[in-house]
Amino acid sequence: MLRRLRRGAALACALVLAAALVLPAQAAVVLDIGSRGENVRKVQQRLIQWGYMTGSADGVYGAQTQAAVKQFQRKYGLTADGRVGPATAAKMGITLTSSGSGASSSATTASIVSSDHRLLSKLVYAEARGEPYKGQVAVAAVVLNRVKSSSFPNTISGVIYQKGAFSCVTDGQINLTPDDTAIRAARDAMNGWDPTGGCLYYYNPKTASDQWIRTRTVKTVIGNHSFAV
Amino acid sequence: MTLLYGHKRRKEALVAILAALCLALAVTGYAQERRVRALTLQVSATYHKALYEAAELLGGVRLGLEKFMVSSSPAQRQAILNDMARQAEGAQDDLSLLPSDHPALDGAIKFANQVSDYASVLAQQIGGGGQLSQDDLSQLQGLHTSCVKLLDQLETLAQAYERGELQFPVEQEDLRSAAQSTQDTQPLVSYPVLLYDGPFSDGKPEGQVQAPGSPVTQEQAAQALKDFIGAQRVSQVRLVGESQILSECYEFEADTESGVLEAGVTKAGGHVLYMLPTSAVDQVNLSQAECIDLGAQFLAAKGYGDMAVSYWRQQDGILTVNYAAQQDGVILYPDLVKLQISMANGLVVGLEAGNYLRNHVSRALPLPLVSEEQAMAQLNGALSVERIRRCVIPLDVGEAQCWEVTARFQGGNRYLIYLDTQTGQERSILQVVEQEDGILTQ
Repeated sequence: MLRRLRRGAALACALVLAAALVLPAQAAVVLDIGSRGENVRKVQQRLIQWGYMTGSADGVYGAQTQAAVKQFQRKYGLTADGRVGPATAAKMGITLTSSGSGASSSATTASIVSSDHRLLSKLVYAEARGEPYKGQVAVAAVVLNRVKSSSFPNTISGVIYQKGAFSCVTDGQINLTPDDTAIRAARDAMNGWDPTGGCLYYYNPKTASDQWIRTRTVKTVIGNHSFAV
Repeated sequence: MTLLYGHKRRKEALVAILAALCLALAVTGYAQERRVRALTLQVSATYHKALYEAAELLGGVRLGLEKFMVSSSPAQRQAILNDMARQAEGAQDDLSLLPSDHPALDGAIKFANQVSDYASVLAQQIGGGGQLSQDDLSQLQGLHTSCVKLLDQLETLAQAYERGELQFPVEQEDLRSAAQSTQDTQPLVSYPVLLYDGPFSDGKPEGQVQAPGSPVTQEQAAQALKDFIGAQRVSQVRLVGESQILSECYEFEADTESGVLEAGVTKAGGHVLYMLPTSAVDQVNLSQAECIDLGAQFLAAKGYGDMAVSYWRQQDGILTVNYAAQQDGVILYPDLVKLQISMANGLVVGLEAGNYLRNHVSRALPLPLVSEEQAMAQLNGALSVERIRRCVIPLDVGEAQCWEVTARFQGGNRYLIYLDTQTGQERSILQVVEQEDGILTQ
């Protein structure tokens, strides 16, 4: 009896081990008609964004999605099988998550267009998350105004990492992952929106310890931040 | 008894001393740890900045190499080479800060140095009236190939650090030098990179502008915003503040079918200066062309007249479109209006009219002294011209009337070349980037 139990346990162990060994090999996700979830939604978002299909990303892989995928595959010289495997996903610039539940991490849907855009989004998130949307665009605009100004470094990275310029670099918050709102705000600023009208500074009047900054002319107040030249 | 009591006191004192020691240790330990953490962040910030900036500057070098091939003007070519030399030098400074043991960065410093030296030499050569040989041209071609490859590797590297797959090595040594360093993380040489989001979308330098029209009250401004968006779309307008941005403004929030729109309305004349949608749009029911058309109709209805589309880009469900004013068929790039159009319903949800408000006047447009044919004859022979039209572009100081030539270079990239209509001078070259999500220039 005991022996049988032990053998059963060994067998179970072996099974679990085998499963663990086999599962990663099967982890390459392939999406096809009938697939549902976060992966499908990501694919649809790209297809919609690039004009291969219309409508909304509902996360259900139907005939319309299949047709759009085929069209995309033909355009990029992939086998037009209408299924999204690793190669097609890579061409779309997305990673398919293997867990069926579709990764609980807050999936980023807003698209990042360049490394400058990514860095600016990170700064906005670190400095101004929780601020009104306009206030987030304004913080990104201040960075871009500095790039244009002769008193500051001439690159986005130069401005952001200028010593002592932004507290989020000193305390490491710059390394957080930006959310959709920050990504959109950075993009709107890069597209030329500037709710500060050319400001080079901002501070929180409740917490700013620097007296000098309080001597600058404030042009507008958005949320917790005063924007100044 | 006394003895016992004394013993007890000594014991208490000992405990107190020990406790104080422990506390002191903990405090210094904590302070030490905080300091190490701060220094570690400082060192990693230096790395990140170097990586991002190297990519930014080398992007400028790549573009410079491409524009160089297209240009036919010695002055323009010299300017491009000088820019490239400075950007490559800046990139070299950045690359030298990065850990050199990564294969992606193998030879990167050497490359940056080569570009910088070579570009300086060629610039001098051209400045002295010299001609470039076929060898020089193929050399530049080769540098371009390496540059594209290196940029690719830098991007992959940046993403690997972003995802935490790679970590910058922070050594004891780095921390010591970080603690001692007082200098900026800024390189010795940096140079403007291009922030173009459409031809001349930066307009002219900032400054306070007197908006045309007589002063309006807060209620009138709110009504102006409602009318601008479309009264039937707006359920409520709230004043959230006042500002002295480009012009004196009332700041409003408007509730619409597309969520809350934030906007600034000038106190003089009640012009809507800017508008921003606070919510994302993730539905797409209309094509880019349909939205561009709807935007043009919207502007015409608001009295902006017939405007020319110069750039657009789709991001998620929002299409951002630049429209430039026109006068007698001449495009006025300084007078730019940008719209954000929801691709779910074709309605305008964003506006940027600062450039237009700042620059728009009726221009005196003298007739060209350089004819269309004369301008085309000046072009680089490897360009096949697709379109030529007159426009006004902003300069660092003032404006210039130009022929805008749209042309393809050797069947590859498309460029916009700006030739002064009065002097024939090559004023600017922009590269057109055509992607799935829109058209932009750089």
